[in-house]
Amino acid sequence: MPEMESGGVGLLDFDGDGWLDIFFVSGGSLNPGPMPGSGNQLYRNLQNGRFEDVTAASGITSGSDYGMGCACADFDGDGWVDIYVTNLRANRLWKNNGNGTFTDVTEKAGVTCPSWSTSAAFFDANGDALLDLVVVNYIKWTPETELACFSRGGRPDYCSPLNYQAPAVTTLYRNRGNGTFEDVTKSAGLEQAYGNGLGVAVGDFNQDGRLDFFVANDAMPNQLWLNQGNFRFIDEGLLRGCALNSHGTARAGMGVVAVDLLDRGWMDLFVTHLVGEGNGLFINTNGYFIDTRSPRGPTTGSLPHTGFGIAFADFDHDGVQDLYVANGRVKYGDQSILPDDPYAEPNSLLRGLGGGEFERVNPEGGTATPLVATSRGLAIGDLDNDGDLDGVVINRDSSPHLLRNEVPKRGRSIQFRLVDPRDHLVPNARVCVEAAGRRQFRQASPNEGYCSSQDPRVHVGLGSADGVDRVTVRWPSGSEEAFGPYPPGGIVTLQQGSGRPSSDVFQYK
Amino acid sequence: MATSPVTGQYGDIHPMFRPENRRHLAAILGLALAIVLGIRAYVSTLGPVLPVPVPADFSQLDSLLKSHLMACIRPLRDSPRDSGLREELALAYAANGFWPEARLLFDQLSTLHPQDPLPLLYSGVAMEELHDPAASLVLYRRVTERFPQFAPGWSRLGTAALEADSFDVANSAFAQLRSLAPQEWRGPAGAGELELRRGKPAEAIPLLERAVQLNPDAKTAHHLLGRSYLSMRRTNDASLQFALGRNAEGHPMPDAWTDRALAHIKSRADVLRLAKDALDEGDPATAARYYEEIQVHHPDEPELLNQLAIAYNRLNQPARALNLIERVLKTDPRHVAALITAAYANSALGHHKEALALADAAVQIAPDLALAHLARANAFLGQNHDLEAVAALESAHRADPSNAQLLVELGTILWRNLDRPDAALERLESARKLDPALVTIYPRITALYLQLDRTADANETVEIWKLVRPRDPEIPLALARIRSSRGSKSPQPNPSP
Repeated sequence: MPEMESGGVGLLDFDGDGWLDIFFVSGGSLNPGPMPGSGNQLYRNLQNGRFEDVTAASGITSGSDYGMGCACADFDGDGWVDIYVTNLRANRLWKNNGNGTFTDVTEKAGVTCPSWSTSAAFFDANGDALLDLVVVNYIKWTPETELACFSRGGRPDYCSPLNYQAPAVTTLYRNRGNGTFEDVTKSAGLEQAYGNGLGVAVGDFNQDGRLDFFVANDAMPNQLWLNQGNFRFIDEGLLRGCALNSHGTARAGMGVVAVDLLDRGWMDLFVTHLVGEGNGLFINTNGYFIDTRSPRGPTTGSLPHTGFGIAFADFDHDGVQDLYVANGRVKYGDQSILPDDPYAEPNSLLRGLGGGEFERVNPEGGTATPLVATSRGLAIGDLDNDGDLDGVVINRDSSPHLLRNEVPKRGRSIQFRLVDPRDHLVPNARVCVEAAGRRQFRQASPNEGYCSSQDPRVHVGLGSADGVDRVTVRWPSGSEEAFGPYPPGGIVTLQQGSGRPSSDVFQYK
Repeated sequence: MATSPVTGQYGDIHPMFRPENRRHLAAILGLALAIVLGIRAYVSTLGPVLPVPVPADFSQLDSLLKSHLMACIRPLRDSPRDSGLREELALAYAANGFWPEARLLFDQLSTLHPQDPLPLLYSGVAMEELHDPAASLVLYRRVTERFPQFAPGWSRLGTAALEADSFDVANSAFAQLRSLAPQEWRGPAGAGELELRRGKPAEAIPLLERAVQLNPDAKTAHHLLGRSYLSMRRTNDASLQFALGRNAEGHPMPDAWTDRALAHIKSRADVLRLAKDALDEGDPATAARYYEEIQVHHPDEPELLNQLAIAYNRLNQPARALNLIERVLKTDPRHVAALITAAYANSALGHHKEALALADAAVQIAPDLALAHLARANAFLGQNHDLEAVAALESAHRADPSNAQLLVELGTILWRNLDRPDAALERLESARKLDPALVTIYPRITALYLQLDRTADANETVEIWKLVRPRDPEIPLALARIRSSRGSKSPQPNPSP
């Protein structure tokens, strides 16, 4: 079972040189002892289109870990981005020492989480400027409880998580601010709902000023954990309309992103699903969601595929977000595309047309020859600092795909680093970019998608605009500031406390 | 006593069948057979021979499925113009997910039988399954144009049109469906969903209320009704409807081929699913039949043996179950599911110590597995160790806190075996909070409230019970008990000094 769900990929600037490096999470062996093969790997960006394997020098080891995913963020506020690796068994927190090496501080930090963890996200749950940690767990599984399942044709195949009847609870850790965390799962109320969790997305979904999180569950109702303050959360997924599809059926939720698809100031949810279900879009209407299916929407063409990794990004700088989905089956495919991998599928690229409409890009996946693999994690970021967004896809039992953006551009772009007064990146800050009379809403969401970690910067395509008139930032602490104007191009740092007071953009309760 | 003229030596035998007439009969039957064969041979020479598709990976299929498909393919190859055989093969392919092959056959059949709506309808179904919703919509439209009295065609068209955002088409389709099949819940449910999609929840509510009235088990309709109530800020009503709609699955309107297709399901994965569904629905006999059908082809497969043993346990045949499960444990003594099944079989056979040892072993291997703790509780109950059983059930609940049924078991033992009604009520109310649609909770909570002299609470419980299962035959009995309880508690005249 675990080999079907692994693994993830993280984009992080671990050496602080301003260029994104890559961390790959690898599966492993169920047998005790060191992991066969290479294990997790860290690649340093050489700033010339090439990367160097620095795993050994970094001190990151895999031991007998069976990797699933990663969340990258500066948990201890020392200015260096750290890596939290989710595993089949105990997870691992790698503290960045700032000199190219990492130290395993898992036990000291108290974030072992000995469950089968999948996606994780750092976010400031209580507005104290410390990054807390949510860890999504899949099922309670051991090799002894593994079951035999079969494909339609009768071949041995992977089971649905429902066969195991062992859903897990999501774990929440509170950052104490001294390099350690407290497990607040129970007191936060997270033990009230179980699920086969695979994806997590953070955002203030009801706009009450507190960060919530959404857990995508595989074949069980999703959970929308609304932050009540004081580390108390209530699951309102069912009542708010994002637990199930519009007919009340639970779908197989894999990856998830929070995205303001229509630039209205409300965070929608896009979830990848199983073949035959189609991906799901939950449009947020004043904190309540509507499962929206439209033949012209972002879910179009997704029925034949099983989606995992996912990212909305403006690849062609026309001012409208496009969509990339990493696909790969979990059930044996009767009509195999690759003779030696019956689970392989092409990835999907959809071009955003505006107004929530999309069109499929051909050849499929946006490469001259479609890349066919059993893809899982996807991370999007500007790997070559040329102002457009590239991508990395991790594939099961195969090498990863590094996708350099060569899409013909329909305008210029701009990127923003959202930092606190100490110049540390602030995840989940929201941005409204006003250019040529248009507003675009984005969120810095480094930890979302499927088991992966994205470019922490915010990228905005400007279309026909020749610059940005104003940028308004809503910080997770609740303050709102305006910056700008800015000419297009480059990476602009927006530092908390250095902007102009603002209150006219975001509609908070 | 009068006798019939044809009775006597041969009793009631018709004169035609008397020995002296049998020769004539044989001649007549022979002639008739020759005519039928002649007509068939003549008809079979008309038109081209249509191809018989076979899946490319046929040789690699599971033997159960392969033999079933071959039993449909071979006769059709022998008589390729027999459309009845072609129909069977088409359904066999469709039932087992071979949609490209099924689609070809349905297309052929719709040409062969232009007066039959089903082949054309199923061509549309095949296109849907092949992820081409636009093509299926075209075909459903064609079905309704050609066969306007065929209700399943309108149902499929309405649903497909809703998916495609073609609201006008959906509107007329569901209107036709409601007119042709007024007792079919999908008509008002589809019309209600359409209103909801149009942003008119107030208009959706009466339609969806009608749908759940027509079929209280229509989970999708409950869910849609919940969404409508929520839009009208009727949060409590919405919560109950969401609970009633939990685990909804999409099932299209049945037609004349639905049951026939079901009988063709031979894919191992799907037969196992059908068996599991039967077990969950309390029909272990059907489940055992399914498992036995697969076991012929896979006699030693551990999971299958374990599932079959579970079915035998539920059929009160623990010795048979144990016989199977011992084979599994012989090859894998740490097979958790088999240990649990063996524990139940031993309990049923009165071997309580063995049952407890097996359940203990399962808990040791998989301490997070609620089912292992449940087996342990069952073993304790067999020995009348109720307190230990409650402790084991508490462990099961800790392992799976979202399982309402565990709380029901816990509450019931606390109530019936340990006479702790307050503790029992607490567990049962927790179970109701977790799953208000679990109907077995209501009679127990009502009875407990009555036992605790909380008549008003009992009454309130029955009011919710009525919403959950309006036609539950136990409701009038519960109401009678409440009335009787009130009567016995009515103020008595002061006794004479």
